[in-house]
Amino acid sequence: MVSVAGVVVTFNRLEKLKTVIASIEAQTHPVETLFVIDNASTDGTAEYLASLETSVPLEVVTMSVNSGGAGGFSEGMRRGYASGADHVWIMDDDCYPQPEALSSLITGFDGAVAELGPDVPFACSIVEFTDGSICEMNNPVPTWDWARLLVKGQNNVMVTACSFVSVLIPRWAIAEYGLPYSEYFIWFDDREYTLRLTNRCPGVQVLDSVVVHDMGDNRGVNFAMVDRKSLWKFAYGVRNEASWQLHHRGFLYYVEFGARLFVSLHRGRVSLDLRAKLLGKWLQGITFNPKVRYPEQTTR
Amino acid sequence: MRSSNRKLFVSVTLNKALDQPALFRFADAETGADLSARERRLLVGGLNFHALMAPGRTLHVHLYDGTVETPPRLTDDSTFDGLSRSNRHRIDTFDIVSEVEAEDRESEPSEAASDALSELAVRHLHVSSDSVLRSDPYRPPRPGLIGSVARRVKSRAPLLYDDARDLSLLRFRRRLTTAVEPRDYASEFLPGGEHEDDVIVTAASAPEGAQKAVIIGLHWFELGGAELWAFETVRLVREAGFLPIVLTNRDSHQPWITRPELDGALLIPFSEPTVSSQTPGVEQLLRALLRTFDVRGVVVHHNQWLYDRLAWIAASRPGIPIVDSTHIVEYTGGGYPLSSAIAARSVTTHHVISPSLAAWMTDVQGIPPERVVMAPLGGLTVKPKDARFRARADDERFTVAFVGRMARQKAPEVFVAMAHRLKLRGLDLRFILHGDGELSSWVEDIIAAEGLDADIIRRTSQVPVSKTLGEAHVLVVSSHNEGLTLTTLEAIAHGVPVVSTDVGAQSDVVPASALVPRFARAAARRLAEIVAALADDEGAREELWRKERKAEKRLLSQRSASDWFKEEVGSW
Repeated sequence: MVSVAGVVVTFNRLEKLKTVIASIEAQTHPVETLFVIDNASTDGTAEYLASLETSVPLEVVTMSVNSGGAGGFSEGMRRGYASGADHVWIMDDDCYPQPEALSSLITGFDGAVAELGPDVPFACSIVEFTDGSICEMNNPVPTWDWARLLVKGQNNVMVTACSFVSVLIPRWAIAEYGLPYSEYFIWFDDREYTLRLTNRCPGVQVLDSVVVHDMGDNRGVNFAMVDRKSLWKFAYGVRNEASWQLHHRGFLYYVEFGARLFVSLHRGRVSLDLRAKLLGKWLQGITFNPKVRYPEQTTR
Repeated sequence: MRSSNRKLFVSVTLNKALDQPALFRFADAETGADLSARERRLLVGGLNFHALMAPGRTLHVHLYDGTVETPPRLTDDSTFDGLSRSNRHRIDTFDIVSEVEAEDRESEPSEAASDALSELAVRHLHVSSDSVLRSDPYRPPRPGLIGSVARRVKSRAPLLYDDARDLSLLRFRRRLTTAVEPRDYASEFLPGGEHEDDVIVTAASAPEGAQKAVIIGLHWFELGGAELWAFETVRLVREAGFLPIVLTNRDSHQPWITRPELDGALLIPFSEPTVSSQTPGVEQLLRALLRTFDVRGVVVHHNQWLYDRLAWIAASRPGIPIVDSTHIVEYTGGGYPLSSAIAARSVTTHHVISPSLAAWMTDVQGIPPERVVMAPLGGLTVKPKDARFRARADDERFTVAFVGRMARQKAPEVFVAMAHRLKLRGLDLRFILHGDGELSSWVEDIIAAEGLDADIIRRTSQVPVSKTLGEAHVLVVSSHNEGLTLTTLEAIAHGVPVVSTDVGAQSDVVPASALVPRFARAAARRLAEIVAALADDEGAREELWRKERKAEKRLLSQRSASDWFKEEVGSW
């Protein structure tokens, strides 16, 4: 049987995490090991996990500091790879997979491999909001020929990028493409990583694998929405994407991203001091250029 | 230094797994039933290592597939924690139960990293399939700018590359002519020493009635004259009534692991590094072997991992014989003879295969002559008696042969350059380039580039060497570096004279008139001159053979390596 390591990254969302773990326990295709990466939560998560008994083997990894979603996923995927599992299945701590979600991901992934060849680098789920509508923030980017598998009778759409909300990644892809950039901390880590993985072959979104994303407010994000409260998060986003555009695509893409950014900030009437801070982050992308880490380069 | 001498163990009976000697059993007896003989020996070898590292425990083992570029991963630190990029596809999972007795001993603080690895419940192994043997052995290219420039120069101008290499090796010259300071193991663990944070914990005694064994360190299970001799010692150890425990330490697909000399031996083909799992001074793998078997001696054939640990073995088992066997003083800093000299305080007998190397050991390194044994390898492929000069028949085209691996050391490119020069002289000669190896494809490119496709016959090791020697009128040894080549002795036994570069101990057999400088350009030029002269003068060719035959007889009249080792191991 295909073996899957589940990876959940959590930070101060204990109540939601309980539902995530219960949802994983209820999977019709059981995970071989569930890795919960606790990003140094301060809400009693560690104590809860220490005494938790689950129906699937559980390994809790408590980070010494909050390493962000990027650091948590990087560590969780490394652990999942080291466990020998055929795939890792990664998600946030507010993602509730339906009981067939994993089983459908595996079937969908295998179907895509049968049609497209062994280079298919991931399969992701449909992400719904708690009210059953589509989750605005978690829609993958389809390829130009996204329906190629649909016409073959499969329930798969070909995609180039997705967010880290229920993604099944085969171990060969981690061996070949490495781990997500933990240095990104938060934002754009999932986009960059899945784009890296689809360099040779697209991934697929499996339409009958469904998860619910309990994210509070079902809104997409754009730079026009920057305010003082959310600035820190946007700052990471700007730095990470600027770095990626410059170092992985080219100077003109970097400039174009900067132009788009400042048009959005202007349209959103974002205050000038916040624009100045984001300009600084955009410039920081010039020197910020993390290197890909592979499983064997990580600390033993 | 701490000792661990509690006799709490019962002797372990060696089991069989997949028809191989094993220190574990499979939870499912059908495990691995589909594997070939080579794959079985590799898998059981890796599992024996892990059974020794996790005494008495059940281990969950994942097996991964690979390609010709991924040599077997059986013992390195990633086989414990799974952190290797080679593990791309899992192909099987099974359980084994170690039948090694655990040691009753508190761990030292220095063992934390090793303990952390050993305590893991899962192991991750890669056994390359037999299909990889159909390709040239893969050697990872040197990375970076220098590597890529070197590769280009090497393929476009092979002799220029050799010149550059000779130049860069000049820096090692001093090391070859001055004595090295032998290693003082205990002092490395004192304050200020390399291992000041570690402690020496010697091995516990073996239980009463433990199986008698000899540890033999080999380079790898690949083709080569040195390996033939190494395999022969494994056979002699077994015939003397000991269990041969054979450790190798070089990455390889180990094509020769199925050799019959290795039957019945406990084989552990290492993949490196083992830095984390083997704590200096504690030596988890070796201590498990020493407390499981009654180890009566140690033999080292080109295995640096074992050289590095001889002092620890000597401290654990004072007085047991530790012998090594060396063949060539490498230009890159001395090679294994230098390792031997560094380990001289632990080695009881240094076996060498040529008078020149014996002189190097005693005169340069100052090793007492009574601890150096010179015994040539002649008997392995050569029957020294009854050799007769093979005269050239009137209708025979003069044939010039090269026999050896397609490897840098053997310098096949110099042979090709010589052939090119001879062709330019307008001589009607036939050339045979016999052998395969990692440079096969490259050599074929050079032959094509020189326009010699029609003149040089290529033969792989599938063709018996005797066939080539049976057709040859002169054997050319073009090596950059050698000991005393077995092919030289074989050629003389077949009645074929030898022309050689002046390397290693070739001068012990080949007279000065048939020796050429080892530097590539000069070698190609002089080889061509000598071969051209011999092609025209049958009398000179016979005269050369007679001189070589006489020198060979003198050399082989000495006790052979096999005879010496048989007597040596018989006393253990």
